[in-house]
Amino acid sequence: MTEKVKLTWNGKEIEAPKGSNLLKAALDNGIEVAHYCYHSGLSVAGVCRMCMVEQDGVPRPFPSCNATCGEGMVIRSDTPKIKASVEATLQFHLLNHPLDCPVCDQAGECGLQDYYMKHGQYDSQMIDKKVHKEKVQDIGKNVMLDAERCILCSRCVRFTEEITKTNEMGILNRGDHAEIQCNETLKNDYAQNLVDICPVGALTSKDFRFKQRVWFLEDVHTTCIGCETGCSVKVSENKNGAFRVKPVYDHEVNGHWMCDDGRYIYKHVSSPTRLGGAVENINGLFVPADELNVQAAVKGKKTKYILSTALTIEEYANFFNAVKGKNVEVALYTLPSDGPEFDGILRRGDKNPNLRGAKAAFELAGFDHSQAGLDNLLGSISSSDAVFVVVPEILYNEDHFNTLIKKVEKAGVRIALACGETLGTLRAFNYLLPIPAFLEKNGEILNYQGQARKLRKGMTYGEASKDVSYYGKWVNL
Amino acid sequence: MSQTEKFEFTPDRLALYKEYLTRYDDIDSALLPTLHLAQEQNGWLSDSVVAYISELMGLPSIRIKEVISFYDMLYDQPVGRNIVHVCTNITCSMFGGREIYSGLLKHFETGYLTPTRDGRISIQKMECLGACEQAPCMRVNNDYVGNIDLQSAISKLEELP
Repeated sequence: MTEKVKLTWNGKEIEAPKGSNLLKAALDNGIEVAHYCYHSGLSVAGVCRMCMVEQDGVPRPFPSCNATCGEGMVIRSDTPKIKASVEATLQFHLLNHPLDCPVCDQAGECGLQDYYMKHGQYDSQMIDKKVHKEKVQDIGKNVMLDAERCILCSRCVRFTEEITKTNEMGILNRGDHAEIQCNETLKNDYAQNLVDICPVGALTSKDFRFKQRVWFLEDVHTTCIGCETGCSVKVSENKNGAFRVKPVYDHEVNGHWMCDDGRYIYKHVSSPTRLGGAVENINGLFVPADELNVQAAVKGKKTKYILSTALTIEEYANFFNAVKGKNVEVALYTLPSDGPEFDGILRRGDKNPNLRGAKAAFELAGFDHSQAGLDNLLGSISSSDAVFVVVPEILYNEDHFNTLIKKVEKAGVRIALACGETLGTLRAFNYLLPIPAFLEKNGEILNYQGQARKLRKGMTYGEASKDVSYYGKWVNL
Repeated sequence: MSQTEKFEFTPDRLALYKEYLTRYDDIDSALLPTLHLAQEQNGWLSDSVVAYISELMGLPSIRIKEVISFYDMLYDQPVGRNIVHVCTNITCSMFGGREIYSGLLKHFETGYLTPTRDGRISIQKMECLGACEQAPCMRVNNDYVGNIDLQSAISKLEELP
C-alpha cells in the first residue's frame, strides 16, 4: 500500500497516493478539471495547458497534469487568474478549428464543445483567415482523420508510440501549420482506440460516422465476447439497433483499451438478417415456421446437442438442469485458435469467450467437453437422431464450422440455434431457432484468468426469452 | 518524396556520425547533425535517406519526418545544386530584402525553394541570418553576401556553377 497524502483542491479535502499525478487525483475525486492532452493510460505531455492550477506559496500557475501530489498542498483551480488563463488557452485552441459541429460525429461528446460552454469567450476576436488543412483522410483501419479539427494534444501520437509501439502518427510542420499526419497507413490492431482517445473530432470511426448522433444512444456496460480476454466494454444502442463498442476502464483485465476485432461484435445483434423466430428450410429457402411444427419433427427422435462456448454460466446450468436424468448426448464445439496465442497487449488467439465456464458446467453435469466427446457424438449420428447445434455467436472461422456441419448431415433432423445473422452456411440445417445474443441477456462468463465477467441486458432485437435451456426441454419428446 | 536509388553514408561521413554519437547523452540529440550530414551528401532528405537514418539510429521514421518538417533548412523535396537564403527579417526588409527576394524569383523564373530549370539554384526566403550589419544580406551556400541590391545579387548568382 502506497502512502496516502491529504491535499485540498478548491477547499475540498482529497486523498491521493503520495507522488501520484495531481490531475488524476482531482479527477478520481470527482473534481472537474478541463484537460485535453492528459490521459491516465498514456505518458504526460503537458501541451494543452488547460489544466492550470494555482498552489499556495507558488508564484505562478502551473499545469496540474505535470505535478505530483504532496502532503498539505493547497490547490485552487477556480481563481480569476486560472479562469482567465483557461479562457485564453481555449481561444487559441479554437483559432483554426473549423466549427463544423453540425456534420461532426464527435458532437455531443466533444471536449471543445464541453469546455466552450464552460470557458468560452463567445465573441470572436479573429481578423485573420483560418489555416485550412486536409479533411476526410482515410488513414486505414477504419479511422478517418480531419486535420483541421485537431488541437494537437498528441494523445494519438503517444498511443502509437507507447501502447502499440508502431509509431504511425506524428505532428508534422510547425506553428499554425502543424498538423497530425499518419506515416503511410495505420497498421496496428488497436487503431479504433485512437478514435476514443481523440478529445475532439479529428479522428473518427469510419464504421460509426454518420450513423447516429451520440445523444440518441444509450450505453450498456457489458463484456466483449470476441475472445477469451473478456474486455470490459460498453455498447451504444437505441431502438434502431446497436451502433458501436467502446472499452470501459477495467484495471484487472483490459485497462483503457480494446482491440479492433472487438469493435465489430455488435453487428449481428441488430442486423436486418437477424433470426427473429423459428424458420424452416424449404429447398434452401428460409420460411417462417411454427415452433410446434419443429417440435413435431423432433418427436420420437433421439436428441443430441452440440453447444457453443459463447453461452453464459447460467445458460449452461439451466440447460443441464433441463436435460438432467434424460437419455441425451451433449458435446461442446470449440472454435479453433485465430492468430497468435497472445499479442502482448490484449488480444488472444483463443476465440472461445466462456470456455472455462462451459468446461466447468460439462464436468459438473457429467458430460464430456473434449474434442473426443464431440467426435463420439458426431460418429454416432444416424437418421433417427435430432441434432441441435448452437451456432457460435461470433463465427470467426466459417470453414471450420462447415466441417462440423458436414458431419451432422446424417442426422434425421438438424436444427441450428442461432443468435446471429442468417448465414448461407446454415442452409445445411432443417430448422433455425433463435436464441438471445450477448446483448440480450444477463449472465456471467469466465475469462482466461478464470474471472467472472458480467454480461448485461440492453434492448432486445431478436429473441430474448428462449435460450438453450428452453430447447433443452425438447429432449425425447 | 521518394528517390529511387538507395542512400548510404560514405565511410568518412559514417565515421563522423559515430563521432556525433559520443557528443550527446542520448541518440535523439544526435539526429539534427546527422540529418545535416545526410543532406550535405544527398542534397535533400528523401524517403530513402529517412529510411536509412531510421535504421541506422533506431528511431521511427515518423519522428525523423517530424524534425525535417519542423526545420526550414532541412529539405524534404529536391533542391538545386546551390542554396540561396535571402533574409527578409526586419533589418534586411527595411533595406529592401523582400523586394530582392521577389526580384530574384522573377529573374530566375522560379518559386520558393523550387530549383531553377537547369537545376542550378534554389532560392529560399529566410528569417534572420544574424548579419544585420550588412543588411540586406543573403547567404549563398555557406557564405554571406552582404550589402546587396537586386542587380548585384543577380550577377552574384549568375556566377554560380
